[in-house]
Amino acid sequence: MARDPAFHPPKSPFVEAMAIFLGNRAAMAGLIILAVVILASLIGPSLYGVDPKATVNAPFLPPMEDVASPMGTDYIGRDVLAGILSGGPATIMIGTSAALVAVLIGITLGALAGYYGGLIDTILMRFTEFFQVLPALLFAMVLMTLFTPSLRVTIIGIGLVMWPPTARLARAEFMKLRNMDYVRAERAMGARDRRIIWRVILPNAMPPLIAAAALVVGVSILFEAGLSFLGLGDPNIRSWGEMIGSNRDYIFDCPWAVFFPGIAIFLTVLGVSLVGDGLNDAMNPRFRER
Amino acid sequence: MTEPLLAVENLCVDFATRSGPVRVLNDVSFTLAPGETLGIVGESGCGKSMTSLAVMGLVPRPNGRIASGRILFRGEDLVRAPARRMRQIRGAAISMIFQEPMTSLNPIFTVGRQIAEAIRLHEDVSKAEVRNRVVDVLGRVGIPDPARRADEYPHQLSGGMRQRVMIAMALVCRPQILIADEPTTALDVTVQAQILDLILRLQQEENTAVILISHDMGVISQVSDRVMVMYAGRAIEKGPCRDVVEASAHPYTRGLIACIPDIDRTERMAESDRLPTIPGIVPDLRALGETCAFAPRCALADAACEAWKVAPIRLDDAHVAACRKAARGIVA
Repeated sequence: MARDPAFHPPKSPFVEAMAIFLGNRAAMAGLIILAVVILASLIGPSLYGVDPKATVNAPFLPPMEDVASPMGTDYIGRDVLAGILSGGPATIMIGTSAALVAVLIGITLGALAGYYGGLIDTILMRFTEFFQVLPALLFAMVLMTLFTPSLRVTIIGIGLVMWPPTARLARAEFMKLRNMDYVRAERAMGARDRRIIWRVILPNAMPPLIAAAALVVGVSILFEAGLSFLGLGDPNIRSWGEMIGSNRDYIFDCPWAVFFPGIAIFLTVLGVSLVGDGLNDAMNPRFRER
Repeated sequence: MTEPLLAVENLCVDFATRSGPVRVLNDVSFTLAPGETLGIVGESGCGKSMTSLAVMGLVPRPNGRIASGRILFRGEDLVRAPARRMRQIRGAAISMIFQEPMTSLNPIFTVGRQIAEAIRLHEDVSKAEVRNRVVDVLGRVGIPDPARRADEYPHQLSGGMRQRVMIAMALVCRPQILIADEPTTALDVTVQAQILDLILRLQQEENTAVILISHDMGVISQVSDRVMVMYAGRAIEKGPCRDVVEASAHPYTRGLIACIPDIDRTERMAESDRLPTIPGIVPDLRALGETCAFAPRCALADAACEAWKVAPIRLDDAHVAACRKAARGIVA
């Protein structure tokens, strides 16, 4: 009997989505980039062992001139490679936390608006639109200048400007799913709204929301870089954006001090976006060919 | 007669539309005794499903509402019951099976877990006890190897199996009333008969009252004790199954019965070669008044029918029809 690869028992939706994701070359490339970035961030600082905040060498030292500083030094002699390695965890942590804040706000408001509809929907959506029409960077800058910049303020500030798209997506999913037969059946079993929203509809709405959340992480990292560049981040944390920001006045004297953190941001956001797109393709049934 | 389990009295349900309110249920009354099967028949949009949703307290909000009438469950008016009380009743005292077994189960949880949730919503029992009852109820609805099937997802089961799971979910809390809204419509004919048999067997075991909703007069006439025929939001004929099927008083009921294909009635088939149909379409509910909604499609209607204000006419103790001509014995 010939083996027919298309002839197999049905797989669970999760296994099927995983197979699509793993078969997606771009997503795999993104995953590899992310793995390298995370690995470098985790073990890089202890392996390299140079203090990123201290002046360790002559200022404006170009890359490869001194083997002790392969990526050169910045305007006060801080090691660029050390900064990149230690800035990774901070950048990724701020990006994911801010995305988490945004997704939590977005899902909560979107779920309530989409499930209840009517007046609640109108009020919540006008509220969402109010946030959406504010210029995001400007709004984040206002938040950052109102409060003393710290890690927490940065995370919450970015989260507050990033949630509207997630809210709209969650609302759309809930509007679609609230009329499903199994939701009706659940209601006929005597379930209360709270249970139906969080335990019945939300798990079914998760796939597109997970994919969207991954993309929010990428944009949040960019946002953090932008804020730090403008000097509005926590000055005590060496993130990649902060490295670019503190060296921007010396961009012609030591372009490498700006270039390398820029590349790091670019690669990380690229990796996150590729993975996010891959998740979107794998989990969104519209893109599946059957 | 003892006090009925369920008594629906003069129930009216309105829907708000852009062109004004529409009465989708108009003065519907019926009773249900313990262990009894009431069949509700009618075309799409006649109010069958809305009747069941009203009993469950699930009339779609905010555009639908119960305008008047009472729904007495063991003497308690469900129309006025608070939401908390309705949640206690739903799924525990009154359960419902829906038409589409393919979509009525949550695709991302195992069927066992979903049945377990149905128990936990109403009873405080231990995990092991819940598991026992899940496996037990799956076995009772005729699912082979229930312990293994309980851990499967809905997409791993066939349509008939899924409907069995739905029935298991509805019956696991031993309700007094089971509302089955077109439970067999989406299934193969052979599976239909199995599911109907199953519902009737479980009904007898537990003395559950069943409201069976169908557009299929054949299904209804086989299993019901009493039948209610609905048309355009009204109950136009109701009575014991035998009376309604064999001595139909309303021309619409007769039309529905004539539409049942019947191998025995070969002579009638020979006359026309075709299955009889009822001419015309269901009327626009917005355009209805107090007169007979079926008159425009009725072969027997005359000028007096157009003016006649619809009222139920009692033919005998239990048999009622809302037809002017039924009163005068013209139809019979």
